Amino acid sequence: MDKNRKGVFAFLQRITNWGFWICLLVLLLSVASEIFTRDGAMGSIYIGNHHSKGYSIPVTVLLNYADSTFVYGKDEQIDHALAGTYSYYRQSTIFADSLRQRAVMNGCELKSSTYNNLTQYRIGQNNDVANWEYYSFGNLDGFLIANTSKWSLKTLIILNAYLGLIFLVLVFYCLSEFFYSLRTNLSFTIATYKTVNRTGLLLLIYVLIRFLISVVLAIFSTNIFFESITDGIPNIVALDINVRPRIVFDFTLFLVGLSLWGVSALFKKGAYIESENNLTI
Amino acid sequence: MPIIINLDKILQKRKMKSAELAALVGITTANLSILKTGKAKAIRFSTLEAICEVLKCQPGDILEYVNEVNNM
Repeated sequence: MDKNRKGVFAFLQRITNWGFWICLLVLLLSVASEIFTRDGAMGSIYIGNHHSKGYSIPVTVLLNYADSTFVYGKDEQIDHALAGTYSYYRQSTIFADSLRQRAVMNGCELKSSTYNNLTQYRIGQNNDVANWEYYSFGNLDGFLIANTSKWSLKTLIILNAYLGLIFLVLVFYCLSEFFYSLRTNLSFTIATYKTVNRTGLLLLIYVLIRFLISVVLAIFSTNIFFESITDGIPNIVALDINVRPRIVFDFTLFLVGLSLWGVSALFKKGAYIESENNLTI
Repeated sequence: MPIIINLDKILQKRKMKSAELAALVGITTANLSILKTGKAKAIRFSTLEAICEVLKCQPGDILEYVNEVNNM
């Protein structure tokens, strides 16, 4: 076998092997922190997922508000080429405070939430902010950190929180085995077929489980609404936030898994032909 | 498999050892063992030709077809 290629496979095997052990360690630490700590803190290390904080639920955030709702601060113009044509404004912190206040007023607690690409956006043309009276963020995908007292849903959100890490450990293990088998013997073998097949199946199972969990969470979770109320009357032009559970289906990962599973059939056939060739005297 | 390899019998007749045959034919003793034990999936014409030449025999002397259904 070509020495360089063998070296590349050895390198990849080492990388995936390290990946496996690091992910396994992180998984074990996370489980240990869930069981043995009260707030997920292990010395100076904070573990992301913990029952005291809640777990990430995939959500779609829909925001509608009028300009007058917020205090805008003019930010530096990011794209100088467009200077004079467009102005960039950064949303002030009043938004986050407003969310918290409204949550408290309704007897809830907003622990934390994340949105994609929320802080920076383009508004107005030729600095004419008045032209934009109403602005909406359509279907922002994000995660809401939430918890529940229902054990059935709690099991699902815990599973959802750790699913990625569990499958990453398993995929790294399969890839490590795959590169090891290529390093030792660059040919079609049953071992390579099995590792490719398992990796493909793992990806497919991961995508389907995440999809099913998100469907169940979407069915049993309620939408979260934030409404602006002025003098006891809903102010429809001020602020309207709708946070609804999101159905997650990673189509790219699904296609990769499906392709690997399909390619594994070729590996199986290749292993059969290889063994026939080896047993031809 | 209904094809039986009679290499052992011919080797015994010729008073030749497996290692010697393997060396003369140009195959490894491991491959000759696979052939003798019936584990081989196929045999190349070039190998068969070399074996027949060394053992001075016909392919039919080495390979024999046995109908398994009739023998049962």
